[in-house]
Amino acid sequence: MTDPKNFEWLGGLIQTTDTLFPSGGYAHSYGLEEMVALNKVKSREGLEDFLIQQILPGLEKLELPYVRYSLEAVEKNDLDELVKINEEISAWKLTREVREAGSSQGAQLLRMILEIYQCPISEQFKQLLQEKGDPCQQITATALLRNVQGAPLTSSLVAWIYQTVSNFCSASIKLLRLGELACQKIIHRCLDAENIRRLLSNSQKVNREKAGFFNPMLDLASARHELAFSRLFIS
Amino acid sequence: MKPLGINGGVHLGCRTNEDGLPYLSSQRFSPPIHLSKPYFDEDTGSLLINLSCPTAGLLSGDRMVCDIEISESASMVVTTPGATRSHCMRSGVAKVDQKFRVQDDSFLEFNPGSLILQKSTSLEQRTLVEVGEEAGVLFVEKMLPGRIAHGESFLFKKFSNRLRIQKNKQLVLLESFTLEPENDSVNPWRNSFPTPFYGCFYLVSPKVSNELPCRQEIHDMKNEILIVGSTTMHHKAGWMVKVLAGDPYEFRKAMKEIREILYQAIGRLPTSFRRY
Repeated sequence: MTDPKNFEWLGGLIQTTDTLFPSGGYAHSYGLEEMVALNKVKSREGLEDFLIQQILPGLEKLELPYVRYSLEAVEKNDLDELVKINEEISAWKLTREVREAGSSQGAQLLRMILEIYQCPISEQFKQLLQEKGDPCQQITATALLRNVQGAPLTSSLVAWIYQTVSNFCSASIKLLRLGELACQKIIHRCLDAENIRRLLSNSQKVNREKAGFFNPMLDLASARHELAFSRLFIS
Repeated sequence: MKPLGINGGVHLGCRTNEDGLPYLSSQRFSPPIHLSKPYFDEDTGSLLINLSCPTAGLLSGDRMVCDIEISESASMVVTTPGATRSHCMRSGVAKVDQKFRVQDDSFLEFNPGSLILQKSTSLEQRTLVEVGEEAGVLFVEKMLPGRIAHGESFLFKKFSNRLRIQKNKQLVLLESFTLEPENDSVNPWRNSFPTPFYGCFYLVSPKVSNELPCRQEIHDMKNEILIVGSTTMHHKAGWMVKVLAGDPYEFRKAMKEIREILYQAIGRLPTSFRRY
């Protein structure tokens, strides 16, 4: 990767993290819609608690480590390893909707990478997945994107935290009728320097054999959402 | 003081005899596991095995292996007469390694009693389930955060659990977590109900690869102290049904009903556990 002091990567990172970038995230609530229906998240305070008590720890113990493993595999040009990581991600996304949210956004992101950047490694990865019949997960596609942009690991991880939190907040505007200011305050508190430092530092210590997080309530909400009578979001 | 642990477990092979009936083709066990006499259930065609624990549970330094292989269209149900207790440990850790291989069009139900994570216990459990193309598995996990009836809840030290399910050597489910009540890893479970009982069914069977006909019935079981949900595994290999309950009676009732519903979906009869 490029020297972190070199900020050529920053423009690309901002462009691809922005809501204008067509990742498809706006159509998903990742289980939040049913958490609201189950009365487990009821208010602004409830949403903040949910994010800080459940989502951030999940990022620390599962998603951020997997973003890191993916980036390391891409850096080493080890596509076989990246395919294995991609397969594991599909397997630990326990519910269909969350798994398909990851794969539809991954496929879209991979398409965008190939349209915008010259990235032979992404092309090879796409080919390998097609041969195996596996869908591309958003985490592995993101690693390919950050690699081609030359974004440093830390910035890539912070961007992943931001995207996750902002996706939930964006869905909450419709689900909890929260105002934009309330959402921005929640995002600000989640991205508090102390939180970020702790998440990054702790996630670095998680090895692949131990990566994982237990959130049975969110799994249940996501599973129940598949048969929900009415819904605003795909997941 | 160095913990004194027991290194043992159970190795079982199950096949069918000339009449097509399941029998134990190989067996080896040692403490902390004891094996009951197998019982053949004529109504369901399954061999029922009860694994008991003469040490009354897992203690510091214990290492337990459970290795079960089923082939030749055999059908086997493995359970325990009661809960599995992971006891208080001043130091050290207990380790459980489980491996299940189900081949041909054989069937295995592994449905032990609840795992009770008692005060100060530290347990590591790793499970690998390998299922062949035409084979079926119903793997069940039940977990309590302590001796609820004694008011003990989330006082265990650490529980690491890693479950891999593979169908035709293809990874279809990976559930991995480490729970430590001292940090935020237990937040979602602890905040679900004041005393949360957790259970999960993992059903792999070619008979339900596209659809689980009873899904709505399962989801409709939800009430104020019970939440149930079902979803497909990766590659449509099977189904996962999770249960969270705030009450032991509701939990037991739901686990029993869902088991019956899932058996119906795969066109089999559930074997009675014969607990009296």
